[in-house]
Amino acid sequence: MSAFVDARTVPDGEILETDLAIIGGGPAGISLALSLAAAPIRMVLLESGGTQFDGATQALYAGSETGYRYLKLDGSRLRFLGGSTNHWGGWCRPLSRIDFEVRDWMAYSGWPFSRKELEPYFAPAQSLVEAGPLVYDKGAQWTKSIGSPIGLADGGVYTSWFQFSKMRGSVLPTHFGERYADDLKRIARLTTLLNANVVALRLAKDATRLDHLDVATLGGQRFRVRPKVAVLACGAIENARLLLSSNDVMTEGIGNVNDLVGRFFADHPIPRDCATMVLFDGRLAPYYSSNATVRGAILRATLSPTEEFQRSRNLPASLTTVENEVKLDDLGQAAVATVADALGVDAGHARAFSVGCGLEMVPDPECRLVLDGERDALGMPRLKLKMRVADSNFAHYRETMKELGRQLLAARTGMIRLNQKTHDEWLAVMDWGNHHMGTTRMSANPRQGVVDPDCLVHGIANLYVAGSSVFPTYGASNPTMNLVALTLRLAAHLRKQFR
Amino acid sequence: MSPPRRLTRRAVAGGAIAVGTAAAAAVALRVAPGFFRRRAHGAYADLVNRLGDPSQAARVGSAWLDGDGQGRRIGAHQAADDLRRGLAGRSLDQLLLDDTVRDGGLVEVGGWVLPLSLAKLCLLAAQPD
Repeated sequence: MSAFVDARTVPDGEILETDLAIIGGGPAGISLALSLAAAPIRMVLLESGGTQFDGATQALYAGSETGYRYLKLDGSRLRFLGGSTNHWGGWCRPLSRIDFEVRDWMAYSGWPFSRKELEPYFAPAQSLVEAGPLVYDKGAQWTKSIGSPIGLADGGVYTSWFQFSKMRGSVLPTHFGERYADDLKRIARLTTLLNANVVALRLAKDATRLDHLDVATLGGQRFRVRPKVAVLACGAIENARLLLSSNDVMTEGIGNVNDLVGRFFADHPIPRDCATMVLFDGRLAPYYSSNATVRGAILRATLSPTEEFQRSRNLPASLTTVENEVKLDDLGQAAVATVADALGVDAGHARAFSVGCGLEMVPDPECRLVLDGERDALGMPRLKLKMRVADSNFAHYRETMKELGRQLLAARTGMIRLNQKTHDEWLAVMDWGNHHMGTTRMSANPRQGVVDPDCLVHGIANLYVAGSSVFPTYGASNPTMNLVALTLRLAAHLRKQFR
Repeated sequence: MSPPRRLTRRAVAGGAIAVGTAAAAAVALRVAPGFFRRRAHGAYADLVNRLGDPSQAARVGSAWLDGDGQGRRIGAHQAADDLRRGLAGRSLDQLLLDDTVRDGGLVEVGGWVLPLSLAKLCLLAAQPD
């Protein structure tokens, strides 16, 4: 077992040669290293932070934001071993088939391959995120003894299922750094460098290959890593920053010939209390409002639009969660009493619940990261985020909620109130998933993507990108499990490359 | 200190009658609430009295009239015509369920997603007698 190496002990000016450099020790970087453990590949994993949070390192993430109100750039991610899994909520669900499709009603949509391509990697990804057996939409069968799903008439919304990363004490998810530290130390051909900040990707003069990485520490050391192949796995914000700021050979930045790096930034908007759902009989199975553990699977039911409904109404994906019980105002009580009476249903035990949601953003090239004039403590340019969210995202979601309301009425089981309508009303209840995506999007066509379907940067022979920055369309599922699956696919590709 | 008052047979009987009356009223309210509610009168009574509690429906109808304008645009006379036509040979609940499967069959009233026919009925309930 080899200990982690503190980069502050690496001599200034040193050059480390390796087969594969993995830049970033988050879920993508760690999954990649673990997946290649048995391969005859010498690896260096470069992590900016240590094994714990450090304020000075975290400050390297600071940037600025303009446009739609968004999270602080240094507040929505974590810069130490394990990356943002150190604060994730553990929600897991594989992307749906439609999330990969080119949707002619959604500009810039579609992956260069179908869901089938990623399916073999969902089970091993599920294992790495420690979410138990692969259940998902078989959740209703697994939870039969706990309660029945909400009664809905046939239509566009159905009960979908999320699973959760394993619970440790009162802490829900797997923190990749803590969980896999010993496994990383056991990999004979891996050197994990902590406190090692990659500050530039240096291309060969002909701009077709990566030559080396410039590494710096906050202690002042500077050294190089010269890999045969490198994988950028720093998250969707930092991946774009490194590609844009490494502009000594290609002045527009690496992989940015078509001005795509940093564009299409996306997250999942999570408006709170966006609707109120009433169930006439007051019976809500507990797995809707909190997690239920069944035979090793931690399950939670949500409500999602079917793929057919999305296609027929040109709707992006969404997920709807049932939250806490709420009291109805006078109008609400009158509406419930009147509707139930007219439908011939007893509403004497009716209960109302606040409903939250997670929305798929429509890909938007103007929602983007650009380099700022300011520099961080290591001399790297900081980023500015130009955030945009089209109001159509909310209008589309209202359609899905209205369909849910229709299905409840048609089944005589309940009804829905849509709580937000105007731009300002949505803004007032807005929260975010901290799911950064899209800034180095994948496409077989170099004019439309930064990386190719193998996650190789177009035009650069030995530089790959891992993580949700390559997602060209986003779906409504949380990205962690999906980016791990995609990373395992990349690992399979690299294994062949090094054979 | 005054001596304790004697419990007379008349007082016991009076108390029992009062308790019994209150209990009977409570049961009646539970079992047949419509009996005690205000019944609608006027031109739309035949429609509005299909609802168990026209006063609750009137609250919804007022919200629709105060809302986005669709309620005002339809107008009571038109709403009554539509409903009478819709209810010919159909029960109220069937009319509402039919609304849930046809285009334009749902409306929002104060955010509540309702069958259009029910909103019209509420609009009539909100009309002055």
